[in-house]
Amino acid sequence: MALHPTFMIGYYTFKGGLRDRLVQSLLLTGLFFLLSTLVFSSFSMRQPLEVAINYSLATVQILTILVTLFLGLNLLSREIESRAGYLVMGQPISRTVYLLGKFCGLCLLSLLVVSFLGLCAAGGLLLVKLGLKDTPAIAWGNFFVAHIGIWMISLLLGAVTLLFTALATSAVLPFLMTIGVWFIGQSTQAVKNYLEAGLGEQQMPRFLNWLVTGSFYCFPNLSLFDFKTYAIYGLALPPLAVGYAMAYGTIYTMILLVLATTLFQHRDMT
Amino acid sequence: MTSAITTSRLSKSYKKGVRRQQVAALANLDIEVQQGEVFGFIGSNGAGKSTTIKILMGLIKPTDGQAWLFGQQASAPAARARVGYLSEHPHFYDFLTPVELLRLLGAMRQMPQQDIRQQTEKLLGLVSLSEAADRKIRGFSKGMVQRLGIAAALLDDPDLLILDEPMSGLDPLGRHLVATIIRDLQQQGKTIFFSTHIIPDIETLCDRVGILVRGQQKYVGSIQEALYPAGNRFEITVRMPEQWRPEQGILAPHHLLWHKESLYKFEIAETDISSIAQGVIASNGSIVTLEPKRRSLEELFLDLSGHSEPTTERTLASPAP
Ligand SMILES: Nc1ncnc2c1ncn2[C@@H]1O[C@H](COP(=O)(O)OP(=O)(O)OP(=O)(O)O)[C@@H](O)[C@H]1O
Ligand SMILES: [Mg+2]
Repeated sequence: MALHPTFMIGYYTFKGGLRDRLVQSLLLTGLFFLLSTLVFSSFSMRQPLEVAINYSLATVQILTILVTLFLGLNLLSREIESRAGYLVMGQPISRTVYLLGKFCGLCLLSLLVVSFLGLCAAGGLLLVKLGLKDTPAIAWGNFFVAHIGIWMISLLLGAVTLLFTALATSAVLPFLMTIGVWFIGQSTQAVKNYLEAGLGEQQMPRFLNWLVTGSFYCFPNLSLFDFKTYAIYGLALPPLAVGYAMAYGTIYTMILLVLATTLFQHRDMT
Repeated sequence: MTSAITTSRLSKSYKKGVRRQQVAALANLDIEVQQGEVFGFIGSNGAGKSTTIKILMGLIKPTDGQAWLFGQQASAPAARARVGYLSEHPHFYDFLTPVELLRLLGAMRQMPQQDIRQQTEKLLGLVSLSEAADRKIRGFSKGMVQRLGIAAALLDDPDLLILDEPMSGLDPLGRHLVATIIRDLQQQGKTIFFSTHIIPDIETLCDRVGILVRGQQKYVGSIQEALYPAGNRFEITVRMPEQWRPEQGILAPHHLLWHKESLYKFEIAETDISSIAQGVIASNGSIVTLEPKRRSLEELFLDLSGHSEPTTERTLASPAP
């Protein structure tokens, strides 16, 4: 069976990720954290199950994103800096295939990570629930959607790393810039809401207003993917919000990929 | 038949430093490598050899001019379909084993599984890596990585090999191996383009050479012509009796290159050979060697670079033949 080179590169990227020491240890640390948060939250006075869901989702999110960031650093940026990519680029394949292959591998890895951590979290939650009396049922559907949201964030950040890697010549720069995008992306919505609410009373300098509005549209709005509250309290998920987030994430990621591959075409691999 | 490699006014300048100063790494390179030829690409450090090779492999874009492989634009991925490449500092996915690496490369070249397996076994044997076939590349020595790079370049039985310093990092056995591989491939009608600064390799392996000096192409042609310049000068080594002095007799007007005990080496003109031979025999001496004067590649380099010093000093400083 002859796989398309894109998937071959994806597959070997995936393999590289699995053999990455840093990632392995991050996953182990994640498991440890997950277990300890679950244990501690079950001692919580009020709503122990809600607290447990909240903590475990937050842990899964942080770890999935961290692992994705490090994978992006080690498997994308480092590879291009270390010239290991020459070997692949010396083959009769285009750079677009190379970059998309790398991205495919990254998608697969973060899917694996989020599923692994999610399953561990689910197992832990079941245990917590067993030890408690009179707790409401866990909204597993919402729990699942919350993980999809986490995966979307990591895909989007993976594409951000790809874009910065296509531009920069050092490996650490894309990594740091992606972390920057992650932080900004998580707060754009909050800052915008805050400014809009406060505008009536205090006069904002106009340029600041522009800056916030501009960055709101430029940087990814990561709070769109946050479905944790629905999972914690078992609220009904608004299909429109979920659909909008998925569409937004997909389109944003695709734009990043197109930009990254276009820029990468014109780059000197020295 | 289309040429294996053609470049036309190929130029590359890099922007350097904060002030983005342009540095010309390569200027107006025009070479044409025929199919079946072994072409040596020579130049000192920083001459622009790797720059040229990276342009040929589509890794960097020329600032001016064009390059073709088998008539196809070098920047097009399809141009690399018949090419095997060894980079200057081969660097592989170190989490893979040689077998896995070659499988990945073969798959990217759309080779059938069976061919990949056969070639892998054959090539790892050829470069003496069979023992390490299933070990992670992470633990390989420099020479082992270089050997693996050679195997990787040969994987798809390419018609053109572009090798950037194939001998670097190899032990004498490895060098001999590479030389043998290059000769074998030439026998099979393959084209080989390689850069090097190791002089014996060039003389024994190359049909033609291109010499690059600070990005400028200074010479393209036969290596013999480059080393035996016109002028018909010869070098004669004679063994003379103890009391003999070079200042006396027939050899006095000639240039003494070197002398040790009773051996003397002179540079002479072709027309003087017979009279000198007679004179030497008349003085009870004997002729040890007589050979056409040839420039060493180092000299050729220095001449082309415009660093030429008086010939005497350099020749006297060079060790005995
Ligand atoms: N990425 C780069 N940025 C700036 N200048 C560069 C870059 N790569 C090469 N150069 C410059 O281009 C020139 C040619 O370099 P190149 O690597 O082609 O030399 P080379 O002939 O391969 O030398 P060597 O024998 O040392 O391998 C050098 O002056 C080098 O400093
Ligand atoms: Mg070089």
